[in-house]
Amino acid sequence: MTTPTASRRPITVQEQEFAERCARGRVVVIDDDAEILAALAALLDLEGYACETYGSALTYLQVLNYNRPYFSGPSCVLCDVKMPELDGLELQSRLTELDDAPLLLMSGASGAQEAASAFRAGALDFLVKPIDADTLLIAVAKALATSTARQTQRGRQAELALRIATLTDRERDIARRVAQGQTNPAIAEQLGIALRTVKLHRQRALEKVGASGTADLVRIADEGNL
Amino acid sequence: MFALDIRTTYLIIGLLYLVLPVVAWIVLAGQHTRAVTYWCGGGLLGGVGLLLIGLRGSVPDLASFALANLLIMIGNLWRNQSLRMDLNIPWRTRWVVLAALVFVLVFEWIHQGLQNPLLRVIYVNLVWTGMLVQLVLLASRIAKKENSRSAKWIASAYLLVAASLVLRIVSLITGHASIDLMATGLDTQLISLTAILAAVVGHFGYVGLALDRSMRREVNVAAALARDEESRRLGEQIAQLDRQRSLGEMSASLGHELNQPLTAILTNAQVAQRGLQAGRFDTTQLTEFIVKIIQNTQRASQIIDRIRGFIRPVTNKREPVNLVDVVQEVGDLVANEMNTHKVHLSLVADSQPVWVTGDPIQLSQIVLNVVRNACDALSQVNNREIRIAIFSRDERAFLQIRDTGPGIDPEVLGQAGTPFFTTKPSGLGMGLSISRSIAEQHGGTLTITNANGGGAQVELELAVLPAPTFKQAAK
Repeated sequence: MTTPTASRRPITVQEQEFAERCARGRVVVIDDDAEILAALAALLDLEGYACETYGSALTYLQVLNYNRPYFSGPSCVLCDVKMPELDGLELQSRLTELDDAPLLLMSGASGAQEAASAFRAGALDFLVKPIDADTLLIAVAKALATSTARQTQRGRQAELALRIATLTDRERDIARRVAQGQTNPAIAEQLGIALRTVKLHRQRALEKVGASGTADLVRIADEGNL
Repeated sequence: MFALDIRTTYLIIGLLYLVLPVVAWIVLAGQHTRAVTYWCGGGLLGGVGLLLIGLRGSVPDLASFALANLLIMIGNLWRNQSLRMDLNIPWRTRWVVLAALVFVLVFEWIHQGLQNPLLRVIYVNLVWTGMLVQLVLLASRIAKKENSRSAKWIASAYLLVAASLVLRIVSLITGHASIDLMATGLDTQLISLTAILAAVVGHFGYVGLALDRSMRREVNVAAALARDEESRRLGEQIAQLDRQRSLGEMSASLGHELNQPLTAILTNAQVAQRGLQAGRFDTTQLTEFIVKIIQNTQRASQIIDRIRGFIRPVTNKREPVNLVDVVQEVGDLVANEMNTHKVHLSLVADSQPVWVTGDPIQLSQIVLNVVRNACDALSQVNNREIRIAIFSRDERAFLQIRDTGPGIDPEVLGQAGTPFFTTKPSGLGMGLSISRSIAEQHGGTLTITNANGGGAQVELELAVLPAPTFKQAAK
């Protein structure tokens, strides 16, 4: 993790508060209706979330593309399904490429078809306007929890990747074969090396990736994409 | 035995023909058509002529012979002309004048040149018989055409006179009768009887005919009015149904549009509630949310007003309408639907106000129908634009709606806008047809063409409301 700290500057109270809000959760709200945008922002603000509003999905994507801000806390996107230019369903497919923030879709219509296609596109929840504040806040909390889980997962993956990177090619090869369920003699025979050497490499690989045993190695190989 | 000589007969008939046309003229006051004028005028001239003959000896010979016969001739011609006018087959005036001249010249030639009184009398009677037969034929045609009993009476009465004239001619030729004005005989008896009868029946019959006709005309006018009213009412109902259908089809997007302010209202209200419960809002903050609630409520009610205004059943106003306002109104109504279909609807920027006379709702209906048609056509292409231009040129107002769609198949172009013609599987084929009849009711036209740059173009052309009229109306 690199944080550019070229020059130190005093941290203002607003920044402090924003950081606290971000830690609680950041919600990106996208709707083409300015009134709804303002009202939702007021609600989320009142609940102590950091809230960003965009009039269209396109502007948000542009921000993501060119001026991607860094937030440490969990975040989610709350977007209207029906919008000109780029609607919520299309946003979903683009978002997965850029950001893994969970998506909540809202719609003026409660049609089964819309809801189905929203879930198929991978939305975490589908909210029908007018949205009750409680319903919305529960959905947001759930989405943020999902975001946190994803971030933890991602953190662990990054850590595993680092550990896997320390393996030598031979160690890595042998670890992969072990994870796939091959026995030590089989590996020795296939690679044409001594059984003793296989055991040595295997032991070193287990130590380097911090696996407690073979079962743990299988899990790490799966999660860390060995 | 009571017997009338020719002179007395002429005098009596002459007097009758002086009085009866005047009576008929007075009775028919208020409906003096040219035909009535010719009939009464002709009768009067004939009456004067007959009197002059009756007074032969007491008045100068020229008046009693040539002038009297000329007058009777003109009278006959006019009465024939009157019936011909009713049948729409009038003689040309020059032929009438020529006939009268030829008649009087031949008369004078026999009278002065040949100096043959018998031939003169026979000639005059023959001509009159001819004229009367004409009259009988014309009257029968009218009787048949209009199924009029009065015309039948006229025909019968004059047929009798013609018959008695024929009898007199035969009597004169065979020497059974005398040309002496004082002579009495069967022929003169018959003529006087039939002529008196014809004078009375002819005029009263004519009055009856004219009255019948005017009554029928009134009934026809009333029927036509009723038909117009009926078709106007039907037209209005169809237009009204069309507006309801349009809005029905747009109901999903209108519902979505209405849902937006409702969402804002609910959320703002709940924020205020939560803020209050948590004790975190002061009066200023609270007022802010209440203002927003009020604004969004007004926004919702504007949407409802717009819908309600558009389906208002009775609309047939004639008032100054700014076409730019009409287009903006429709633009608001369809904004959401256009968004859904990713269609960009634009009014050409420099559109100045263009004023016309008409019903704003009906004119909006034209724009709505055309714009929605264009929107349907655009679903087939990627570049989805509808451009509306409004301008006036040479006292005509133009409203052009162009789209970037595929345009209209030339084979279909001619049929577009006729009732029940549609290319859409779910269409009724009424939209453009209704729009066109609305345009026509406004004294304008609606033309559908393919634009030069591709896409369809619909042009509404109306008369521009002159500026002074508008200013007066605005006052």
